[in-house]
Amino acid sequence: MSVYLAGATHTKFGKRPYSIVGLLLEAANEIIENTGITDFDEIYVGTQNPEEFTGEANIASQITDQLALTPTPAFRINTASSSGAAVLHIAYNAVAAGRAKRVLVLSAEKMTNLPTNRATKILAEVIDRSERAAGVSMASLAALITKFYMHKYHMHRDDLSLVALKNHSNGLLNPRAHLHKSITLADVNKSKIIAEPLRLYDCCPLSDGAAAVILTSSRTKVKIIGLGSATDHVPLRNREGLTSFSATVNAGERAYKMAGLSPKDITFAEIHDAFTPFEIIGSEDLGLFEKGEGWKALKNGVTQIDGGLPINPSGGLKSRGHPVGASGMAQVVELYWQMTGNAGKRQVLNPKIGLAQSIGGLATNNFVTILEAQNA
Amino acid sequence: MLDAARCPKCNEIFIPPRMFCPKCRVKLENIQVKGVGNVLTFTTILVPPEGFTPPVYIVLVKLDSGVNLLCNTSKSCLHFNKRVIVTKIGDKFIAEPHNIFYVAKKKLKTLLRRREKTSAQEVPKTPS
Repeated sequence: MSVYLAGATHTKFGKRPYSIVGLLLEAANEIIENTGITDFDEIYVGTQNPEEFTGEANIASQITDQLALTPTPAFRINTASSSGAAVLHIAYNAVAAGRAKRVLVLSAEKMTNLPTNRATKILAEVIDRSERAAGVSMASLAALITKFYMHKYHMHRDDLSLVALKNHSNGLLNPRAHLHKSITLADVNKSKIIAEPLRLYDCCPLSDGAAAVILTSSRTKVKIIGLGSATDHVPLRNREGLTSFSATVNAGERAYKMAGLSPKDITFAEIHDAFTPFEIIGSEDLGLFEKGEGWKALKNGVTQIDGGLPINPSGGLKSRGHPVGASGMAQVVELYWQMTGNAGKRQVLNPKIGLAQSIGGLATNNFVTILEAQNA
Repeated sequence: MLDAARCPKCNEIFIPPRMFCPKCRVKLENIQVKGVGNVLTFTTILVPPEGFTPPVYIVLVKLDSGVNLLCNTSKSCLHFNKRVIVTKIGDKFIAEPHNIFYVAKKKLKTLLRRREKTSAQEVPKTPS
């Protein structure tokens, strides 16, 4: 059975006064108001680690209770920072199998209540125990990969900064983005070093936020046509290569196969740019550009909103913010907004076939989602 | 020497040792490998997780036996292809420059330790 999006939204991302349950309710209430749908057969919630970030647990039941939707079945899904995408993939099955007609899919994270080093420590728990003992964070593993990529493909530090410049500029056009700040090359180069060569402006912010999608078996303007996910070895030392994430390659191949498409059919994409190099590596792993060519496409303006293949018109994780459990779904929400003509000033010209790629952990559980805009 | 495990099927080596080969899914055999290798990539962490003091120097080392290892290190090892020797201290792997100075330093340390022992014996006992 075909699965469509009946609605999609996300809250403003950033430093928000609400609890994680409050954020989820904000997103859920908005989508219920927008669509008028209240009779859900099942509810799904994606979050990475509310237990440690906020001390809240049993999120799925808390949500059905607060939304006055008991006794609707509810489930919580966690695949680290790709939870927001994973929960959509799981919820898809309920509709595709004919078990449910309408499913409410939510995702969220609350992170800004903690000091940065505490949040960094909680995020680093997804890393292999032996490597964690060395003191590495997600940013440091990304830095090791970046250093290797720059060395192998002769990419200059300033080329990397172009990801941040583009996504900050796109984020200025997104009223729900966390960061609304235009930046220059000099700003990037002056910013604090997190893990050399990555600076503060190479890293997405820690954010609060929630997203909501309603999946339905009834035809709408946006259809899910491709889903794929894959895992990879957790320790960085056991990976096949350092300039590519096999979990993205495998997830992409599965999603393309299901959709019956090839990378050249994609008209725009949202890519998991938790760190600036990840947008470049992701665009290559998905076959949108040749290996080692991603940064050149960026430099030539191909991935700008008005370029041939816009990437992260939303501002990406870099500018929209990264409430870890919600980002994977927020990417799909952006595809939906673009396809339904609700992207405002950041509207891409041809939002026919959109791809969202979400990374879980340090690329150990990645998801690719392909949506197609339907003719009215 | 470092504790390691080798897959009897594909011969791939894993450090620290683990039970099964993640590729062949067969039980691994425990072996020991030399900690000598070259730096693949490196970073200096200035904003580490809670519990660590910056700067933290990190290298990913490719050992001569073909296995990669993430190690703590000193600033002098932060170069592509730098020759290093890895030892395990507690739950941490430490990479140090592997050159004539390293060998000399090790010898000197052993020598000094021996001398300390000797001089400690030479100290006259205070009369009680």
